[in-house]
Amino acid sequence: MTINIPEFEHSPYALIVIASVLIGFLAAGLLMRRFGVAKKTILYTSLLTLICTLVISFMAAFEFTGNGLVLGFSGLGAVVGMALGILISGLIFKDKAEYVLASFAASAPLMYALSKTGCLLAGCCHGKPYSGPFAIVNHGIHSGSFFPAQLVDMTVFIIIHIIALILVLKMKNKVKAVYILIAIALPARFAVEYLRYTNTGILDMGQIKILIAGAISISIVVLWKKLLKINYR
Amino acid sequence: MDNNNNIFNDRQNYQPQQAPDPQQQYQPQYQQPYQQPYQQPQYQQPVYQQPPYQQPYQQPQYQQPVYQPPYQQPVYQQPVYQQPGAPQKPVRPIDLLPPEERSARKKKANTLCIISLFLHFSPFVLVGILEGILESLETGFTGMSTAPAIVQILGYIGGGAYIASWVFMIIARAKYSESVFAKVLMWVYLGILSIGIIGTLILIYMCAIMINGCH
Repeated sequence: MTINIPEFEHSPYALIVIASVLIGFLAAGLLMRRFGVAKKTILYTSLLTLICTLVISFMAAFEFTGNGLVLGFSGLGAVVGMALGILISGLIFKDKAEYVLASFAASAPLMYALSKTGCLLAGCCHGKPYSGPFAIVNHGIHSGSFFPAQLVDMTVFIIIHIIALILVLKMKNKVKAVYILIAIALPARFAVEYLRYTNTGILDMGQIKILIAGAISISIVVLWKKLLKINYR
Repeated sequence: MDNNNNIFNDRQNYQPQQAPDPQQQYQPQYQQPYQQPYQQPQYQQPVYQQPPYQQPYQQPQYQQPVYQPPYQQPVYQQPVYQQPGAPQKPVRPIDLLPPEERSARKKKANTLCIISLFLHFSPFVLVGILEGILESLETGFTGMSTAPAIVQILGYIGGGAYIASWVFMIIARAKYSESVFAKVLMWVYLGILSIGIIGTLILIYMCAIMINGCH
């Protein structure tokens, strides 16, 4: 059994990525409302975090080579951008900052999982050549039969999103919930990278990038916690 | 027969009673003087009688004469009916501040907005510089080895300035919510952002059409 992906005249990739980011922000907004964060804080935090996510995601993919400019959006850049946006808005508003962080941390895996639908339909980020059951058959630029890496990515991160929701809603210490979430999501993303066609070894460039993005995000959270003086007894 | 009923029978037995000898009879009995048992004197609290209640002196209260205004014919005023659902203008805390403080706040908000505006449009200036570099590359003015690094750095500076402009605008909106400049700036930025996103999507579709056309 194989999954046949048709070739689209207009790639739905950009629309799906933007829609998944907006759905993720909506989910974060709903969580913040549930935690009783003020409407003003939700509005401006979402706006600033959205700008930071888009710009840093764009900046991380921005590359100038001898052949010209390479433009696009990087998922890892988006994670760093989101963490930075939450840090800055936390310093401006200082209103239930730990709940704001927890809400965005819980909805980030949902954003990532939904954006993988765009990758699946566009044929990018595909897996290694494979022709067994559930193989993805692409046409056009990325034609071939591949391992369903995007589907595995989606499934793993939807499960992580559900775990994140339980952690964030049940645990009193929201910062601890976020640390546990990073401890689950980072190795999962690291492992999924092995399935991609770009993977060349045990520790290739893609995995080094994941480790760097994870280290930057954890540093931002630690810095945020110190600057906002958030302590749980 | 012995008649005991005879009243004279008693005379035989009658022995006149001798009057008692006063000397013999009088035996003064020595009686100990009666001593009452010692009783501790009981202290009785003096009962003070309260003086009769006298009402305190009250100053006579001056009663103002009730002023009765001269009769005026009532002027008929049309009642003001509030429109249902019309919002009442609430008194904002900023309205209660003295005018000096209000103008100081306005000045601070305007400074933040001007910095934000400058930062928001600086990336466009940087893009102009970037284009100049790319053109000079074609003419061979700048070496290929240094150009990518310059372009990359300019890209990062532009992105940083763009984020900073949003940060300054949001600080102005959050701290000086009464500032109209900040409000207008926010809507201008949102407009530019939406036009940018829609423009990029249109550009992607146009490129796709062109690529398909090439096939």
